[in-house]
Amino acid sequence: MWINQGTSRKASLWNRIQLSCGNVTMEITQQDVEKVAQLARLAVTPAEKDTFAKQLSQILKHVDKLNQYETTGVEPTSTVMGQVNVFREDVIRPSLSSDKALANAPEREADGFVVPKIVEER
Amino acid sequence: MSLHKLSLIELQRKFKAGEVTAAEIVRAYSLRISQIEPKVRAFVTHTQESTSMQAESLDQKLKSWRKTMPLSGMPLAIKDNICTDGVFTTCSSRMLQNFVPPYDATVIAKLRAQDYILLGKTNLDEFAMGSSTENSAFGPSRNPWNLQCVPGGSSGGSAAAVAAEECAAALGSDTGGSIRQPAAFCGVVGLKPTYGRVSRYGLVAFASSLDQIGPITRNVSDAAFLLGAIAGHDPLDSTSIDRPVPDYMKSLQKRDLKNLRVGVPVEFFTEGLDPEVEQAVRSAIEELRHLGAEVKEVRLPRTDAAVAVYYVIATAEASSNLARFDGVKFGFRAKETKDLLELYIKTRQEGFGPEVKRRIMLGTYVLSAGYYDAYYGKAQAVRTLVCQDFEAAFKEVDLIVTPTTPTPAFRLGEKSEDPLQMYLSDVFTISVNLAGLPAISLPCGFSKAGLPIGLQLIGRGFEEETVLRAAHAYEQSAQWHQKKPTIR
Ligand SMILES: NC(=O)CC[C@H](N)C(=O)O
Repeated sequence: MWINQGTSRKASLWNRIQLSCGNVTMEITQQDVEKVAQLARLAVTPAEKDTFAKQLSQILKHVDKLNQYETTGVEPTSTVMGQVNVFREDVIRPSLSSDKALANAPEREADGFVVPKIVEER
Repeated sequence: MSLHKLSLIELQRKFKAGEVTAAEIVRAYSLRISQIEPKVRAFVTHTQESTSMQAESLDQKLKSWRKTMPLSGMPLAIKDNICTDGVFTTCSSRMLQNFVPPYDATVIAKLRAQDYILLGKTNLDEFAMGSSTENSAFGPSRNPWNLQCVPGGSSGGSAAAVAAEECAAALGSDTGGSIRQPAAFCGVVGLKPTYGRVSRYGLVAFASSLDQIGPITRNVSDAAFLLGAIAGHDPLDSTSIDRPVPDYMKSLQKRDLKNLRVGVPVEFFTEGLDPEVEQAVRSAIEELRHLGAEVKEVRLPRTDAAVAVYYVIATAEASSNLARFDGVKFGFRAKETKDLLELYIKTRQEGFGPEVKRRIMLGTYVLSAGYYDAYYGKAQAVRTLVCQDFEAAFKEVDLIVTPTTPTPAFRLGEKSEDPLQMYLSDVFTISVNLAGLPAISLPCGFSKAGLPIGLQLIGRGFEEETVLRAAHAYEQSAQWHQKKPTIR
């Protein structure tokens, strides 16, 4: 993952963000697109790489607007109507039968989901 | 009179009085749908067959014991991101093309308990991401007022179905305007309830801190009626709030608006606002004054930031919510993959359309190390400022009135190549979701080209009654809801 790929790249991207705070446009490169796609478990074709780079740059340029707003000391909002964590008793309740739960499986065998082999044989 | 012309409440009265049977209702709507649907394409799944059976058994049941519930026999359409037990729920995505939920969303369970009739599932932008239904994997729906125009989105199928009289009423979902904007474009009523008023259990999650389910209807009374049926606390949605559900129909009884202070935010009437829209909205404001409301200017200075805040927060939440689509337990799975990683990547590559990918990438980017504070943290802080603007305004007024959209419906293809332009068309609806407030859109006139124009009324949290009361008073004096499209 790119976040672990050494600090030099991270630092250079970080610098660009700082620059963008001074209203210098944040450019997303095709390499950036590739890395993000990898993180998001997506694949991108060369053509998509190009369009996404342009479009994401454009969108992030708009997002740069946020830097016009002073937010020192402003609490971040993650929920709005006063919701708090809700706890419940850990009790056994009726749930889906395994047949129902498996009904949408792309591939099943008996009572399980089939996936490609994950563990290597020795 | 043909049954499809009746509003939800009119039809309900007739059914309750035993003047029509459920089978007759279903026949009337099947006919209507078969005539209109080739042009409008509001639905992705029709449930005609099971519906007829359902209607007949309901009629049988009522024969022996005539006790109807408020929504018994009422023919509704449901946006296809709301789970319906045993009926396809596709989110208009290839990823869920064959997905049949094993359970009902809470709103559906409530409707089903009242013996409603499900006419079908309506089209949307894939995973509710979009403003036109052009992002649907199954092709766009059309605006009944002009088939070359979009119906809006993402609940475009629901709004088009209501406007084209293909259902008595519908449910949609609203994350950044997806109930109100299509309602405005299609000349119908759309209500986004307060965040937490209606359970989100069984709504396929897009941006969990913003999503709400709400009614799309032919008039304000129908919206009040349907909201009452779906609202309320649900232990299965920990963000739903435990507060009594008022009788929303009662709030409509008061016809004048004396003692109501209405605010007009100056920031909404700037460049980019179509002159015809401005004029219609200004006349509507005059009408509210005429009805007794005290109208004054208010300021929402951070309105300008809303789209930027939204496209960080909504995409961040979406990138996390949509991580579940991995081809393992349900949904689409790509063929011939050699290992698990390739299974994930190919499945997501082939299963998601371009807009969904763009959002997942943007969301992943703003959450990634080194960017989290600069984008996500910053957006959450500016979200606080947007909320504070509303709080300040609501100290001076009880209701805020704005246009729902800057322009009437645009043409198919007009914005589909330019995502940012599409995003910016939602400026007037998005800040309401960021603050979690209730808001309605209802028709307030037509452009010269004959396209509907929407008026938005925004209330304080959990004050749906005030919103509905003002909307109803305006609707009854203006009567725009009587105008129906000629579909050709
Ligand atoms: N679901 C919605 O409310 C969508 C809002 C906005 N049009 C978007 O694309 O995200």
